[in-house]
Amino acid sequence: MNISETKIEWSEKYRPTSLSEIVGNGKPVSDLCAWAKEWRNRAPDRKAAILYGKPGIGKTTAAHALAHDLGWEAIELNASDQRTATAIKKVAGMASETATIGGGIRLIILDEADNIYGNADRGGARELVRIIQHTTQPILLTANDLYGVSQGIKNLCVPIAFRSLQSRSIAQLLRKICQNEGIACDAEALLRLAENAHGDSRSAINDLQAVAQGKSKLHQDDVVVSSRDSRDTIFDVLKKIFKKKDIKDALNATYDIDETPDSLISWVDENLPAQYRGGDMVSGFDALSRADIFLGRVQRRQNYRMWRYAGAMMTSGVVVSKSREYAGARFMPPSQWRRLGQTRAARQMRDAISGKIGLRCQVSQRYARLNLLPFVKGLVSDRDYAVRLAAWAGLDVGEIAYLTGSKKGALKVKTIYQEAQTMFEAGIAEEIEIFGGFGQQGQQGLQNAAADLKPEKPKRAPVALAEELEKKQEKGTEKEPKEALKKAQTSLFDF
Amino acid sequence: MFKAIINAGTLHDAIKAMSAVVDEARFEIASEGFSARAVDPANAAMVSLDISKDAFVLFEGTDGEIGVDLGRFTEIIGMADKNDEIELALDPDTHKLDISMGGFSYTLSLLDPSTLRNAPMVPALDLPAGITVSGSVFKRMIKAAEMVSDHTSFGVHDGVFFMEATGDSDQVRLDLTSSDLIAITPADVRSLYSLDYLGDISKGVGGAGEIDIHLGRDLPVVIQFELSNGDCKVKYVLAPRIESD
Repeated sequence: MNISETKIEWSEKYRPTSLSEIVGNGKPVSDLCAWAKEWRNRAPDRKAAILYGKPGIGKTTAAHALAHDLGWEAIELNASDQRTATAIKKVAGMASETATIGGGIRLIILDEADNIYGNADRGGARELVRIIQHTTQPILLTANDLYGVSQGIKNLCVPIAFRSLQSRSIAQLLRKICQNEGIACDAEALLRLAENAHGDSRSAINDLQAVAQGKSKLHQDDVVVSSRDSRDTIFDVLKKIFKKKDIKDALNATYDIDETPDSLISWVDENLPAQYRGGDMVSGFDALSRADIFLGRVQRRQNYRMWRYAGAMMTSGVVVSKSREYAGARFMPPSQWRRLGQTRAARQMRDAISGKIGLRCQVSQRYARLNLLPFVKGLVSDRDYAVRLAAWAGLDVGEIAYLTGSKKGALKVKTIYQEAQTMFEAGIAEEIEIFGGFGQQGQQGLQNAAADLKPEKPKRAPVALAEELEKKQEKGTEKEPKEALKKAQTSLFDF
Repeated sequence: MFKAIINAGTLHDAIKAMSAVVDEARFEIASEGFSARAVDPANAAMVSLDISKDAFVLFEGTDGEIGVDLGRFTEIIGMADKNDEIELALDPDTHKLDISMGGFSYTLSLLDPSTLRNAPMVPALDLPAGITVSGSVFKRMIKAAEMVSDHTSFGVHDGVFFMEATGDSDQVRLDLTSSDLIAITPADVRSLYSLDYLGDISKGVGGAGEIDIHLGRDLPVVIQFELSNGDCKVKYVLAPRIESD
């Protein structure tokens, strides 16, 4: 066998060139043909089709085979090409608007359309919509995940689903290749390869080439392809930490799993009290706390070398803490993650409120959250205060509900919000002054505050307020807000 | 085996003509000369280049092919003075091209020709009309059209050649009678072409004196010209634009 021959991938070498050679997927292939036939006379209503399904089941192959069968020329833009709006326009756009040199039909194949923003800009998808709308040539998209394709593109395409192949079909495919390559093969061996691929014929063929190339006989024992996607689980590691005594083994096991020390420590922390008792638990937590100190230092100093010590403390340190064997309680995933997930919305709300208060009080969001928010929460039990606060800080319904501890739809919240709105629009600055007049400390601060409020309230209120306040500072006289509005003046927050 | 000496201006114009359509090209070397054929990524424009061995001061070549990154190649030969002589030699061991001129000696890494796209065969086209126009008129015509639109029609009607470009708001038309042209073969034809390509082609025309344009009705246009007293031939084929309804 010469070198150039070994270099060819079998998945390329045995790629079907005609639709009739494609294994399985009879229905989608006939759908594809039906769509293509509409192109014979003139462009059909839906000028593009999208072939979707898992990798390695013949979508791109079918696209090229279609062009081959109908005598169309094909151009392909695949994921490795640049796919910015400009690049898509230059190649696919040009190809869609120009006739072929020879006068036939040109099929434009765009691989991995669900990945179109991958490393390019978002304009790519928009450009593609425009191209499909105006194309004079058939366009085929392929995608692994139909949900990853933007709605605009989907609406313009005929969707054609490709299914994963059955192990039996794949085994048949492999047998043909073996015959062609002159390899005597074991039916069992091929079936094992086929099953291992989980419906992906390309990886089955790649696996076959890996184990069979250069051999004249393939026996079941030769199939040493490890199952795809296998890895040690976190539970294996926990078992080594809590049940075994080998400190080195416990540490080494962490290297094979895909967890950072930050998440591993949560796992150990969650399960430690359920596994150990008494003094063992205390010394276990002692080790864990030391690990946590290291993690904190990693974070602060950005010196990831210290992960090493953290890792050793949270595994080996916990291993040596046990004085006896414990019978197994079930390992649980860290409840902290679940709690963080459950409280995400509330935490975001808290931060948003702190940000608004911080802005008005000229302090950081963090300071407002830690030092001001607890008081504010207590103070809003006074309804009048709550209204003034909402007007002053520009709180929305959700934020008022959070502070007062009521439901978002509650009448109380609604009325507070409405009164605050009225107060806001009236722009009576003195009445919404709280926190000792911080609000008027600087004109710039006010403008920023108003700009910050603007997106939430499309009404003209913030502008009116800011202008009102400006005027007051300049002249010290009050004017009707409507009058202030009439003087359209551009300022920072108009942009 | 390949070794050649050629005038820098000629080589520069020839490579520039190629790079109007493609970034990379596969050159075929034969005992008769040096040639290349390439098609753009959208399969809409084709270019072919033939440099006969008479265009070279010295030419020794046996059958073979090399893949060249045209951008790099143009940069390197752009270093030479127009009247310099450039010496090209293929190093068969390293598969690199040695380029010497004006005291510099460059080594250009070549591309694997098998990774470059295959150019399709030039189809036999029956184009009834043809004109011959000076290079400067052609360039001005394209420039005028580019100002108003991204596509333009070429056609011949009643023995008069016309270019007509219609944009969103403006339009431009140019009529050239037989007295304005070097030659004309009349026939009633008209086709629409993309100015993205024509603009690039007009840059590739370089210093060519006369340009032959062959036209049909909704058929590709063939634009060809000669450099270096006919020893270097360049030919473009550009597919027509289809007007979507």
